[in-house]
Amino acid sequence: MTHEDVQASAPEYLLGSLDEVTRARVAAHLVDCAECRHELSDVARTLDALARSVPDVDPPASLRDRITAIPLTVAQAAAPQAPARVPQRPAPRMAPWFAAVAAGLVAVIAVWQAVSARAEIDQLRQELADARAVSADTLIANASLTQQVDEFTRQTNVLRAADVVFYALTSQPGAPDGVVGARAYVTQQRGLVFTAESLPALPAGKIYQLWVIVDAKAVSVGLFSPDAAGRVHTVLSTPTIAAMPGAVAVTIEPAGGMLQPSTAPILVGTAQQ
Amino acid sequence: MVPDGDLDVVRRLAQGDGSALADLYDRHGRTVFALAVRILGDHGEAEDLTQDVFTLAWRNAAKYDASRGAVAAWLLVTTRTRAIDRLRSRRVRPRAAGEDEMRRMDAIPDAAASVEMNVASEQMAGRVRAALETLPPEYREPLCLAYFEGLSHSEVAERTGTPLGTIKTRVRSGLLRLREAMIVGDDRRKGELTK
Repeated sequence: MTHEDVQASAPEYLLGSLDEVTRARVAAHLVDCAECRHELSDVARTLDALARSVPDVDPPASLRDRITAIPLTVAQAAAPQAPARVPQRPAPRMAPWFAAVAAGLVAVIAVWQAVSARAEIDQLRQELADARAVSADTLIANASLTQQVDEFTRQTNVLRAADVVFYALTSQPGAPDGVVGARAYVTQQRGLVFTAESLPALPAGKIYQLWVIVDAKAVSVGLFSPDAAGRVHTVLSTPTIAAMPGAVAVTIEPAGGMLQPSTAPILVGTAQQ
Repeated sequence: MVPDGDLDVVRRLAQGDGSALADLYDRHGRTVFALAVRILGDHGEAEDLTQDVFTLAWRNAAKYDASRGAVAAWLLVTTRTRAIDRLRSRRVRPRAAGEDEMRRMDAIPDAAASVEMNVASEQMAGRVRAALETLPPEYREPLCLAYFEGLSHSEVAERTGTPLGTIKTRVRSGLLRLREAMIVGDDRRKGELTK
């Protein structure tokens, strides 16, 4: 792609209306082209200024009441930094497969019991609440505007990180037909990149869930769905983990995801040296 | 410049101080609502969207990184993105919304900072409006269709019955003219101030 091509595509790139292929080409060009990044910033500045060009409209007084009530209405699900006040539920039962994976990774299986630690549960519940608050699709979408740049930047950050570790995930017995493998590139601080091909679409009410296994604990990374061609290419935040994962796994869970895996994994992979 | 105190408001939000949300709304609610009305064309839906945007701000305040961009910029980008998502779902062409708009602004720190400098004041709003009005309709219309209706250039071409290449050129030229008009307006204003 030439500078001219990239700069001609800048408005659509920023407004999220470029097709996927062109978007990727523009993103690739931007990585190494300061001139085009500068142009992109200028275009972004002008586009964003348009947001303030609209006619003034007086919002109704009742809207302020709705806004001020937000902390009350969402407190239980997602109060920032406040302890999650989700109704108490028993910790989910450990899936049989998980014990097997865990046993191979650490000597002391008892450590796994620590998964019931209060803070961990609260964090997982917070993630679950967040995951339910947005639709499953929103977790994997690279939809529009700056998120596209964001996705690419985060991906680059992951792949260039000094501590990035590659996991080759392989299909497990019982996996749906067509599941051949996947790749994960994991960093502790900068997020992780997950890619897969030929993943079948799931029936309604089911979703793929990605996990990292650290010190014999399964920690949810997030939910994802393949595109129409069965491909997944996403950058996710690495959950707070004490050490690099011993393994990365994918399960099929009820829509909305689970706190702990409830089914056998369809893909599992350990760190590749 | 960033309105004084935005950062403080977000810090309080991040600490779970619910009263900070009222302050954030008092600072930016009007702008968010106006943009929502402009895109959605429906006051009721714009109210719902404004509530969504401030709910996201409440949920994500703890993740906010001041070095990555202005609060107002984040709110407006979020508003546009969510509003366009609603428009597109009306057209039965649903597109998944972003996972986390807070990170969207992270992606283009320069742009975010620019928004911060350029659109944070009421005077700026007037200048942008005036600059937009100076654009010939054939340049203004494609730009507005793309920005406020979320149409791709191909869709704009189809809607206006104009060749795609012409639309691309006009959107780009329109943005350049708009930028120049804003700069001229800015210089004039500075000139008046120094007289």
